[in-house]
Amino acid sequence: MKKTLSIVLALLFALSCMGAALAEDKVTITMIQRLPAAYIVEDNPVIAAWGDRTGVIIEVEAPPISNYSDRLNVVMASDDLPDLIYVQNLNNTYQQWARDGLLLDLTDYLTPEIMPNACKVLTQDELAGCLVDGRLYSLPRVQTKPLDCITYRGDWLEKLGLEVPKTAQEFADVMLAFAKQDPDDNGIDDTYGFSIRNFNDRNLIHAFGLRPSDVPDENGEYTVMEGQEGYMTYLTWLRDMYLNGALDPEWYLTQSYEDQDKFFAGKIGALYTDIIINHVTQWAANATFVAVNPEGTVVAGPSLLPEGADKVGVYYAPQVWGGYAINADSEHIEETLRVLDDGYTDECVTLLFKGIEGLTYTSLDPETRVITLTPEQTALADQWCASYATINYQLSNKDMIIAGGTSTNEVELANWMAANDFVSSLEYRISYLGEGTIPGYNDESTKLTNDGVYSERNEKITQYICGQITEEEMASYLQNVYVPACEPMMNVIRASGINK
Amino acid sequence: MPGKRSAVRKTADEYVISGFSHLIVGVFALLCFIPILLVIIYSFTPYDLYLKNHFDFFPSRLTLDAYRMVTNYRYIWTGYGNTLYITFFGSILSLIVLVLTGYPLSKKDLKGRNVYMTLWIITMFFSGGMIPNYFLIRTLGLLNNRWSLILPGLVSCYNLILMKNYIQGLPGSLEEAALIDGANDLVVLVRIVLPLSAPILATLGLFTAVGYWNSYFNAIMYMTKRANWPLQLVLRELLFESAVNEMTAMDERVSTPFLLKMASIVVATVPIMCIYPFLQKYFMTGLALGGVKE
Repeated sequence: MKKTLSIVLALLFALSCMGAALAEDKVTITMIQRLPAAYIVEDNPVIAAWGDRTGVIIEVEAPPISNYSDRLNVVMASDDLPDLIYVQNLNNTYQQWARDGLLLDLTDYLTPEIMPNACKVLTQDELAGCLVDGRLYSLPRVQTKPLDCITYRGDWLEKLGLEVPKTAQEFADVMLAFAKQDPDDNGIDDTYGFSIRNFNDRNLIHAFGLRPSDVPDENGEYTVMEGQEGYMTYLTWLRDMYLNGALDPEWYLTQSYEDQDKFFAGKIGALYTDIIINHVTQWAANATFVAVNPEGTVVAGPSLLPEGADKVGVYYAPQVWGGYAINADSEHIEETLRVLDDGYTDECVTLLFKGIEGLTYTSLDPETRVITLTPEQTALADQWCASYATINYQLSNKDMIIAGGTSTNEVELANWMAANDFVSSLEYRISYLGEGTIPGYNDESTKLTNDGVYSERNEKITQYICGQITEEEMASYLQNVYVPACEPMMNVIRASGINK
Repeated sequence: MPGKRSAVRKTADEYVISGFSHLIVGVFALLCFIPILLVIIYSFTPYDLYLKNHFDFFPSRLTLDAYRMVTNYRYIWTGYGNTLYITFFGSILSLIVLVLTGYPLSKKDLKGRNVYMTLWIITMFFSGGMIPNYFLIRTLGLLNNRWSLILPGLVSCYNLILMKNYIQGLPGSLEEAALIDGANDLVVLVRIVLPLSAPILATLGLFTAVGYWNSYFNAIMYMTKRANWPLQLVLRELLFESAVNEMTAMDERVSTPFLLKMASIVVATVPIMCIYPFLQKYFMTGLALGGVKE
């Protein structure tokens, strides 16, 4: 008996030693990543699970989100480079790091044999922004984008007997009605149609035949958007709405989220900047929105259509939110490539974004995108998971990310689908590449920023919309000052032949 | 007696001037106080009430939502701990070094005094830069160490000049008397100079403490672990992340950044504001006397 017990104990000891040895054999991959404030890095079971999937130990450094670039600059200037590096901006600095040999050239590694998952998911358009002198130095973090839309107060439209506007003229009429016909029924003239946060928003400009500056016209000619035919008509349309009181008079003070606050407060009836279909369903159920507007409903409208058109084509560039590069001097290139490639699997996207079944959520249906979670699981998910934590923020079939809209029930999902169907019946996507992918573009654009060209343009547009300068003065400024100032930048675009 | 009565009794003109003075001071005091009051009120106001009325001094309901969001954040507590550590040890050590540096520099017979002062003053205008400082801290093995947040700001030249000038302004006869009685320089410093320097010590102590309390940038460079971040960096992170987020996260806002900002201001400033009343009586004296150059 003693002998048997001794053998068993010896075996157990040997096994534990082997286990320890195996654990010690695991390579540690260090990583620097831009993660939200609520994310807890220490003892994070999701990071540990990711390490288990890839057979390594993953150590994440998460600098402050607002100073990520500062910290990254220091890291790159020192000899303390981690194995895997999230590069927030694929700009000149990134290109310089690549040329200086700090980043591993991934061109020859992106093959179906070495990185099968990344090869399967990433398109050439998505990879374009990561190229430096024709070589690949990072893999992009791409987000599948739901359709943009314009949101309206559905109850206001209903009360005033109006339809969701589709054209610029209908939009102007509805905005005026929101401002002048007391849609909230409080007997006070305290509502406006909308506020402006972004001048050249795609939800508005296509109604005037405008296109991005790096998209050529039918003759293959590139023109900066502010110099295109129709831009003055667009500005005059905005100006008319300001002068007749449809536009919130404080629009030029509106900062991030303040237009949303005004929408929630029942001060404006439409929102168009950074709005996607997801917001329509979620805001209607938002506790604050309901508290302020007990009868309030939210409906989606399409990007504004040109007069007489049945549908509008809306330009969408690949939604690339930075990229992941590998330290050229990493001692664990093979393992780091494995970790990076794993980030492009649906399983890893789900793991990093939504966590572990039973721990951070109860169930998740990949088809319907409905997730169920308890309040406790929600709290844990907030700590251990984040969209920021994903290597790739899309699924391999390019469908919208699983539960990206945090759909938590079938009704919400049905509403989402209805809104999406309505908007997509009136608009279609036109894919194009953004200017940022053109070598040399950022240099020229930065010069314009530093020379105050953009800020002067914004000032002039503000003055024009507010009626402080005439149409002739505005047109003259655009054609004689702004457009010529943009010529060096436009020449870079022309030389590239992008989007032809 | 008539003279005394006339000194006490105010004329009509004096009443007018006095009243006018009170009015001006009162209005300015209110102008300073109302924003602070609003910050506190906002921090307890439910988001929906805030949206309905931005300037409501008496909201019908109060909420701790914004505070709950701030305090639920795990790193708030480690941040408090780190900031208290940095502020306490940094301020104490800074005062010790300031006294030990300022006292000798206040002596006109110190050889090389002008050279030392020139070297100090150069640091007011030029710094080594972010990357060299990072290399220095790394070489010292202080990365992810709280002392990396204390040592770089230990002595500021501005504070040193104030300290030196203050000590220079103390009556020389006191020191001479002590020296005649057999005291050495250390005894003179501890028994004579330090007790007389309470105002400047309180003033510079407050300056330094507030400086350490509010500091965050060095932590971005030297602290790679979030658990080592000071409070201000944690709060800054919390606010920024709430205000600027990725596209789909726009709907993930729990509380409005504005109200969260107000709660964060209260959380971040109340502890340091509590110190001020205890040092206030020294504050103006120290600043005024230290600023005088003989």
